[in-house]
Amino acid sequence: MTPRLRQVLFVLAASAAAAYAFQTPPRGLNQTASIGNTFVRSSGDAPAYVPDQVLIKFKSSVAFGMQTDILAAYDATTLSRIDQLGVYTVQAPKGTSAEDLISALSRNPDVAYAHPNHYFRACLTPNDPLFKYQYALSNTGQLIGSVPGSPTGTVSSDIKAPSAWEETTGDDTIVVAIVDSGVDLTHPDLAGNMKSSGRDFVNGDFDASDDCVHGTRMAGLIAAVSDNGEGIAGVAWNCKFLPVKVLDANGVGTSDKVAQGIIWAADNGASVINLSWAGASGDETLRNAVKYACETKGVVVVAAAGNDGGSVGYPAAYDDYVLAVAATDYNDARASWSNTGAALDVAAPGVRILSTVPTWYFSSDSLPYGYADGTSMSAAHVSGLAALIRGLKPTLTPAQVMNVIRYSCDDVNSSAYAGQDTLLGYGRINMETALVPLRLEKN
Amino acid sequence: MRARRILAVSILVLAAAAGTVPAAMAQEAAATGGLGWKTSFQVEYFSRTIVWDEKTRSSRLLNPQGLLAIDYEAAPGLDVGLVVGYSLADWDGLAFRGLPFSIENQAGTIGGLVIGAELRKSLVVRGDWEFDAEARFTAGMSKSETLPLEGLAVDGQVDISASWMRIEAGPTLHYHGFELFSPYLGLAFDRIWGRMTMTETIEDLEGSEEKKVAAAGVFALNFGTVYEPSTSFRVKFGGTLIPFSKVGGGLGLDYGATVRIMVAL
Repeated sequence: MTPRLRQVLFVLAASAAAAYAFQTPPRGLNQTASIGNTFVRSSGDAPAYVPDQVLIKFKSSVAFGMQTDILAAYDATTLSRIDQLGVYTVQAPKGTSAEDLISALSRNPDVAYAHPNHYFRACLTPNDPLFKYQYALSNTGQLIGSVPGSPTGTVSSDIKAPSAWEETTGDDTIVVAIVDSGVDLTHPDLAGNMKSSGRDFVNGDFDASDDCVHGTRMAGLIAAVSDNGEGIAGVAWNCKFLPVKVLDANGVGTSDKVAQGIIWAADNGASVINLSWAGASGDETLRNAVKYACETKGVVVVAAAGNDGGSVGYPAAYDDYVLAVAATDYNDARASWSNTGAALDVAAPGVRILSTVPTWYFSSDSLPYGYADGTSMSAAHVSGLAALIRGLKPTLTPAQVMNVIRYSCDDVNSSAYAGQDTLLGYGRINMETALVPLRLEKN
Repeated sequence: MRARRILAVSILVLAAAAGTVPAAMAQEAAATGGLGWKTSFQVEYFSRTIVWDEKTRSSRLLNPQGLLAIDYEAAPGLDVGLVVGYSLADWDGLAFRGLPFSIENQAGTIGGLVIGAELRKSLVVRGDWEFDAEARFTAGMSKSETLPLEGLAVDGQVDISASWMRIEAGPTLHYHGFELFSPYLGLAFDRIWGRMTMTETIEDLEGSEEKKVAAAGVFALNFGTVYEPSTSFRVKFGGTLIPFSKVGGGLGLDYGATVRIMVAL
């Protein structure tokens, strides 16, 4: 061999090595990134595929015996074969990554394709047995109610809770004050997320037990202990709630009591205050109380619009300080009794909503859960979302949190009323849009 | 502001390479003679895993770039040069969770100017073998882009700007035993760092977040060959492999490739 020929051969070998090293990643690896983003959204660093396994399919022209010979040539161990597809699952040789093996196999003309053995992860769905009845959180077109003959919902007419829970299920330092009729302090699906026994402004003590039922329903919707194999799931299942009793056994409260309750909640660590009640008239005391909570203490205040079909009630109508919430149903339609007006900010499901009820409410052989309607339920869903946002983005001001909730809504009545309107505000809340990173793409 | 700072640093480095160093070498050059200018056109691509949020998350920085270099042989075996070019950096996968609405960047490539300086010093020559030290600094400044933010109940927009810097320095071993080709193998400290800023404006809701990033790997294996059909014309084919520790555990391998055409003036 002449020196010149040796040089040429060396160059050819070097060029081949360089071409091998710097070729674009094999198609399978590009797909990996894409699939990882799709199914492991925002988990970022979870492995997208089994690090040392590869799936291989040979071209149909390659005989079975030849296939095993080829695999043996790469020192790959066959783990299984899907006969119907002719696809092998193989283990890469020790010290060889899946990427390396794919890169080598993809250049073999007998191989139809080779790609990583991807992981697929179930979306975060709590194992609470009654979750399937919570269409508001995840509407699969299920029966709305547990009784045969109940209506069915429209798929995706919900607040997209499971996909949002992939991003966060809440922070246990975030406290939602439920300024209401108290909460059943012994409820098995609530006790674990209760910050304290709260404050009772009706009876003047520190035992905010519920002798109505209303407040216990709100607590379940906002922060029921979830993924515990029992009952329902709360929207902000890792947040805490603080019961503040301002409504009596009939669900009625007065300006002084509700104002006291709001201020006490704001002074005692609440990040969000849920006000699932309304009055036709407001007053300065109530207005100043919500102003104090929002402006002075930095609390997000959420209130129900009201259920009489009239104008938005108070305190929801205090537009500068309170997020006013209307009700939609299992088809994303407005509930006919949901109050209307320019002060409306957003809407959330409020028809046939399953939640916790006090353990004394039904007979002992019944589970302490029941259905109810009302913008109260809608407001509770929104309070749960507000709590999740506060935990995920602690630097946002109450006004910014309120805007995130507004602007992330689905404009479900856009065909008749595009944009913000007096029936549903900006639309039905969407937890996924509010919490999961939006993909910024060029058109 | 950041871009201005990078520009200032780059200008200082360029000034050092273009002015101070050649000036210092001029006397030696005059004494040895045979010095000259070279110009190069280089096409380069690198794919680097970058880490952020205190190294808890990772994504990739993909960067094809075209560079024009002017090198001056200030003394025998000592080249200094300036680099200028254009890059198309792709920062996809970088997520901004500090904004009112979290955003994952999938905007694709962002064009921008690249400037830098480089230096090569031959250290030891023994027969057909040569051992040298090479260093290069480059900085990329992407132009700002404004993109609509879709999927919300109201209109919104995001302003993006990004910049990066890269330092490469290390020894390289060359073999000149072949008539036309000189293969080489080198080790280098190869660090990339940078930042991307997103400013979100959605009606009266505004927020801005700057994300600092750094390449996960910093030690590179460089290899390739230089084709030299004449003393005034060379083509360099090079590759780079950079191992790094993955955020989720395990080892990964980043890579780069370059083709550089050099002409002596």
